Amino acid sequence: MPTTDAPRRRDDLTVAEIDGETVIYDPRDATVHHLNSSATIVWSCCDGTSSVADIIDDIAQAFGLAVADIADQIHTALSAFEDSGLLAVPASVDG
Amino acid sequence: MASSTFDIDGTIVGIRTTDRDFASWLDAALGGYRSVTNADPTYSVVIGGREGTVQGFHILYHGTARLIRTIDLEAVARALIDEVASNTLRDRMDAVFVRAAAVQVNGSVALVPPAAVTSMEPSVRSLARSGFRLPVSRWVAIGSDGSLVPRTPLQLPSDIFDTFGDRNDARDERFIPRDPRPVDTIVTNAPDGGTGVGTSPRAVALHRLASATLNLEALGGTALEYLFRAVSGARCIELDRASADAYPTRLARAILGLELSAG
Repeated sequence: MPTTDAPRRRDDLTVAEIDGETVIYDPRDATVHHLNSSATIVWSCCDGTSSVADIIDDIAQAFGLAVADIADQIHTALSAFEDSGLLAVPASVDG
Repeated sequence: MASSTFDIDGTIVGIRTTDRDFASWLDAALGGYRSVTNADPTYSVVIGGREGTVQGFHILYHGTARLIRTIDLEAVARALIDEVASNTLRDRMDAVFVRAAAVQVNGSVALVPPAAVTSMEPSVRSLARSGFRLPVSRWVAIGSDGSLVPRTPLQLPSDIFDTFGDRNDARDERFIPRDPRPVDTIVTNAPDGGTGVGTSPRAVALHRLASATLNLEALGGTALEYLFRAVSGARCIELDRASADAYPTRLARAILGLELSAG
């Protein structure tokens, strides 16, 4: 996913967060997904206004980590969301 | 050998039994669903106490898979009816129907994977002596508040199970939900390679229950909401697939909170 994309959670999903992890029901194919605590943090950032680069920066800052140390993990999580069809068509954030 | 075919909400179900009296009972129980077609048997009920059976055990098979083996005629009948009823659950909206087994240990109720119960069936009577009640059903109903709720999806004569009173000379102590009650513990299988007993993330338990929901498509996100309430109030543990001998003891101890390590 390009770093200028602003991933956004689909609106029609049913989402249950419990103990810092997430379970998602997707009505399109009646499937259920489980996100562990790390994936849940990334998921919570997918609001359609923050670019991938913003998300990486925000998480790095919030947890006191180096961008280089977490960028791959975040890209992997976002790709998994995308592959699972959990994201709306991404918007691009200019600048 | 007697065979009957029933139309259960559009699903044709053939049932074969070795016992004419049981066949008559079945016709009385499911007479309203009788089909004019003749289907190959989906379920087979071997009634014990006759030539060719072992020690009077009654056995219910789905295809070639043994679901229950018991000396309690009513238990095998209830198990059969619940299995047949599972064909009606996909479109129901009155509860979340989950492929899980509800066991009771000293009053505490736990949902466990159905396969775990199958492996414990041979020990049902000795387990009962130590306060362990196995279910007859391999599915449970979860209500809107997350409670385990009784459901009888098929239209049956109200006294249909009373008729076993005279013939049933041996009873298993089984757990059959009669009233709504909370789920105390949810047990999931540990991942491959996992050992022992540990706490499980509740999200994992929720994911497992939702994935095993029979009417997930019909209820959609509502199913997740009901199950969320069940999981929120329950202890969630994972248990490795120990040997058949060791599993019941470890399960009972885990349900009673006697054997928990860090997850």
